[in-house]
Amino acid sequence: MFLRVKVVNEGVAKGPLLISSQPISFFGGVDLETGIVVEKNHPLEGKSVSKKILVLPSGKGSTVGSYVVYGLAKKGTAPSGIIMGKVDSIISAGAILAGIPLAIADIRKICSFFKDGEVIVLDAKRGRLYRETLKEYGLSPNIFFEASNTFSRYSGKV
Amino acid sequence: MKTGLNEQVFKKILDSLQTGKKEYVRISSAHLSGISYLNIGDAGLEFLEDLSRSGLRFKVKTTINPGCVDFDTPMECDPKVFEKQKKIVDSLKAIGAIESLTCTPYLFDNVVKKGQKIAWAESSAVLYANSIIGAYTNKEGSLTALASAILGYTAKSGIHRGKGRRPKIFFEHRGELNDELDYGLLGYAMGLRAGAKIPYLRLTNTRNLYPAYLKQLLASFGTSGGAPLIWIEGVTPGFSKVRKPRRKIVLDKHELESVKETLSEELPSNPNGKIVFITGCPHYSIEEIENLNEALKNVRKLSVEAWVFTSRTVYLEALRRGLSENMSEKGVRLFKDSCVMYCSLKRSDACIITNSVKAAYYLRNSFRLRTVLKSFNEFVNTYGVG
Repeated sequence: MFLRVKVVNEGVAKGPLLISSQPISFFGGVDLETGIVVEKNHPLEGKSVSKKILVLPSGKGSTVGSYVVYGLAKKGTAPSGIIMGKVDSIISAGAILAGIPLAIADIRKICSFFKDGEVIVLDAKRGRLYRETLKEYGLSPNIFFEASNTFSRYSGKV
Repeated sequence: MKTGLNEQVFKKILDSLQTGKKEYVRISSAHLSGISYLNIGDAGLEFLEDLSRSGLRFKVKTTINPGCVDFDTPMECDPKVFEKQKKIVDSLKAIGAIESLTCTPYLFDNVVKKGQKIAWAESSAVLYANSIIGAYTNKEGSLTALASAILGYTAKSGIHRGKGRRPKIFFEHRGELNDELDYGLLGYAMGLRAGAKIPYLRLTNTRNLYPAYLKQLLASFGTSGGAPLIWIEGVTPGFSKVRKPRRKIVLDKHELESVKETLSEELPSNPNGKIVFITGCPHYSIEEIENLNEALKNVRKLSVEAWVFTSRTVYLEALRRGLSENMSEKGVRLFKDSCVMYCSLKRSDACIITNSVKAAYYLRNSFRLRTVLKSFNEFVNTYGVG
């Protein structure tokens, strides 16, 4: 089973799903060193976006947010993949600079399909989003991607 | 992470923002925002340093916005901030930018002509280029302007298509607009109402239609609104041929007053910090500095400090004409390289009086300072001595 997503920046990423119901301002709203959301009263306040598959409706705030996304990636504290409700000029541009896989999808669908925190794979090559199902078998990431791609291709047909 | 900064990456950024067919227009000029260290911080500095090492160079004439320091007065700000601001400018120079450090590139450093296709960030300059000069630029973000400067072309969207230039909302202002502040308030009120729509503006009284006042109108419109252009009747090239929206929204002085209340408060009778009058947002032209001198002719001294921000080019011209000397005698300081978001104001408890609606908006919301809106003449009448 997989969900189709629209690819903006190609690549494959894996990580626990982190869903934000609200837009995020990376500039001022996310700590540049740790990737922890610091915006007061934000639904994700105190949580880290680092190594997550971050799902959010859109970006907001200063366009400097692009540089923050880039800076996080350099430090290794960026999200491993990003899914947005729509393209914006801040986060999506930052993800492209930083080489972070990014796709566009219907956020409500993702919420009904996956649970927050669940480890999922964003295949922003074929435009697919699916559960990591083979993790318990201890397969290497490469084999894992191949295997789950085959798996998802098969499931997709059914 | 490997720093894969190459032309492909920047093209992808432009592509990602175009829905449907990807088309481009060649540009002949670029202007970048996101220069101030207080704005882009370490994240921005690191990115620009990476970029300067990537081997990429600007393909078109590229100027840059102000930073947050005056490079001739280093003692006024945190040495770390000063040094990092210098690094930002040095990186940009290495990529090929002109060290203009101004938000008014259209005056000297990056003069553009009617019909010229350009990619400018800095909303006040975008609005000036489109609405007064008749050039074509979208309201680029820091990064899309940078991408366009590197590529030499930009996305053929928005204003670069005929459809994207049409006015979608019609404003008529009735009554008097007496000074720069009135124009600024009108622009701000229009932006709040227009959202992202391009307005057509009719002024029933055009007695005071000076470039300096229009600058205020456009800058404050760019603060509250999203459109890159205002069709100003009698001013914008081609205004007579454009089809106006049928419904008219009338703006009057009540609207301007209610806008003013949101950005201006009474000065506390016993302020903790110092009171400073700030002007030059957008940067003053040499004519505006001349006018300021004229207005101070009958004043011996000002009882509070007045700071005027301008570009390097205008600063040097003011020196040459002996204006800055005259001004400093009366307590007016001329700043260059920086804008009103000046390093020493951050985390200060200064009370700001300003004639710029845009300055009031950002000093209030970004620097959390108290702001009072007064026109320059009002200010001189209140604080001028002798």
